[in-house]
Amino acid sequence: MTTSRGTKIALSIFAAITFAFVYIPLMIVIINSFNSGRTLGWPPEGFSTQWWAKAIDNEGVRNALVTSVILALVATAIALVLGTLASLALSRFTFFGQDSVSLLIILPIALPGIVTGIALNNVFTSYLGGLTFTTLIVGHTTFCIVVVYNNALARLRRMGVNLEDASSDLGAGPFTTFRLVTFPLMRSALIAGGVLAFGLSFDEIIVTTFTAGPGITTLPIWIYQNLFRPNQAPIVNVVAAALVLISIVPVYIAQKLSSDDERGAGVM
Amino acid sequence: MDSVTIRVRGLSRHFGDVVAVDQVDLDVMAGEFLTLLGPSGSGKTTVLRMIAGFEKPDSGTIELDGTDVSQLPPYARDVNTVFQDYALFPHMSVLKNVEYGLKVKKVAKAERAERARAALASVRLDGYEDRAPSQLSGGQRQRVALARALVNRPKVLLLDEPLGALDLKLREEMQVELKEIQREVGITFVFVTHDQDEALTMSDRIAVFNEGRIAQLGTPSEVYEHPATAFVAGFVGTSNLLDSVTAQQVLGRPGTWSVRPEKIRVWIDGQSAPEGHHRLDGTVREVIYAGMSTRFVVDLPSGNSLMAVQQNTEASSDLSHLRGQGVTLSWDPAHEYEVS
Repeated sequence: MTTSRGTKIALSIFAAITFAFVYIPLMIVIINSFNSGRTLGWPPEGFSTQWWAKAIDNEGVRNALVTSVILALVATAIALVLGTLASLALSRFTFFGQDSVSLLIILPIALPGIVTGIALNNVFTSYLGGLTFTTLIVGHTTFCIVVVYNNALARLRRMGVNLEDASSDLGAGPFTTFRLVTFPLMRSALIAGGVLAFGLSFDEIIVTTFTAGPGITTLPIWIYQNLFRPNQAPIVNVVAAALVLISIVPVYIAQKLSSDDERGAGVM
Repeated sequence: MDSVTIRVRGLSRHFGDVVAVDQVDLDVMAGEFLTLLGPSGSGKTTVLRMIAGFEKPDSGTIELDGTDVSQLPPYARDVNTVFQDYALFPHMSVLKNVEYGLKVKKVAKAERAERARAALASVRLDGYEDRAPSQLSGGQRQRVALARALVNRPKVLLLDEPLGALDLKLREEMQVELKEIQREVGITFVFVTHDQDEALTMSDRIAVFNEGRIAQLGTPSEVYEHPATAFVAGFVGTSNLLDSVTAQQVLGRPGTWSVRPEKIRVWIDGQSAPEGHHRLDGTVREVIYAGMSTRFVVDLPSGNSLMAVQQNTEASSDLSHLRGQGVTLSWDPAHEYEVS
């Protein structure tokens, strides 16, 4: 494609403005977390790691972090098992209502979080004896399954059934075939899906609000609760900066895994 | 070649409204190289997949050495398949691919490595054990797939158009090689192809498939020289049919008759045609020089045309000046066959 010089310049400017709007605020958060002043004015008053130290010492932050990590790990683990099984069922078997089931699995990610949240909240409080940590895990699993399922299904479709046929032809039963052929070839897709699921769960706030039992505070909830307390503002800033840095890692891993597979490492 | 390895009776399979395989009976003899030949959609691949166990028949039975296996899953059948796209496991080395069948059957580690290496040597791939399948050429992958199947010493080896993805030169080499390997190991081969040359070159017997049925089963020369139907005459070799009018005129009998192009001789002077040959006058429409031979398309008075092929035995074989000229065609009556 050939583009004129003027178009190129215009496109470059738009791209620069877009990136600026997304990334400059994030950079300010990170820079401000090292600001020595109590008020987060610009320019920063000086360099200091005192807010990082205070954040680490803050029991509320530490508890919220532990809660978020445990929640994301458990929800991701359940999603990995259920999402894998669902993708196998839908790609390797034919049954009545297949397309509807597929839609029902994907729907939670399209539904507004507030709808999922209210619906789950109603069921949990009205019929299942109230909100606990378990109900929070269930709430998060609903959307974690979707990303695992989508990744696994795409991989299975691309893999085709020939390799599994070959394994069966060579004498391997269904479980041996899964263990030696299907699972190894799905592994990178599952890791990518799991990492994304973990990321989704880790910064989720809406479903969390409606499904968390009393007294349970995840990191995003903690931030939300402390954002407008003037005393806590610098610590919130540190937590936000830490979240930015932590979030980059899983996204990087997921992207690297899927691009490796594009180059044919996964499936020939 | 007396005992029957695979006995197929009344085998049928449909997909939706399409009847893919229709009441097929077939005996495959021990140690023979049988080819299922036919156009795409003729049912040959479906028969192979039912023998392998990837498809369940709607009706009919498949016996392997006298045991009905038609309801068994693929992993419980003593047959192995070479797939069209080879289906090598991309996450395993060449050696691990070949060892796979032995590993899942719990053969001891030392023995399976030894057998796998021997199998790789038999397809001339020693030294490639640690390569990944993605590092191999098409022909090499094909041989790995062959070794991976043969190492299990199956009763039958099923080959689903295994040479289809190779270029012509390599394909011709592999045809010879495959035939040699089959003779050495003595395993029954069932080979699926749509390529008539491949079928004629390699097979002990050919089953020609058309519309889900076997149109003819016989040795390559039987199928080529005595095609049973007009379909077989057209699919194996070049279709060269005498219509009923021409047959009445030349042979004195009606019906559809077939003569292979290389059996027909072309004469500028009809009187030179040998005594006892059937003769037919026509006009040359096309002269096609093809290196080894020259093909003539000759229009007949009935409106049909016949093809004749002559070897280019002379140094100067340019016969294009014959285009448009009247000629006489002749052939030995021994080479004409009635087809249904």
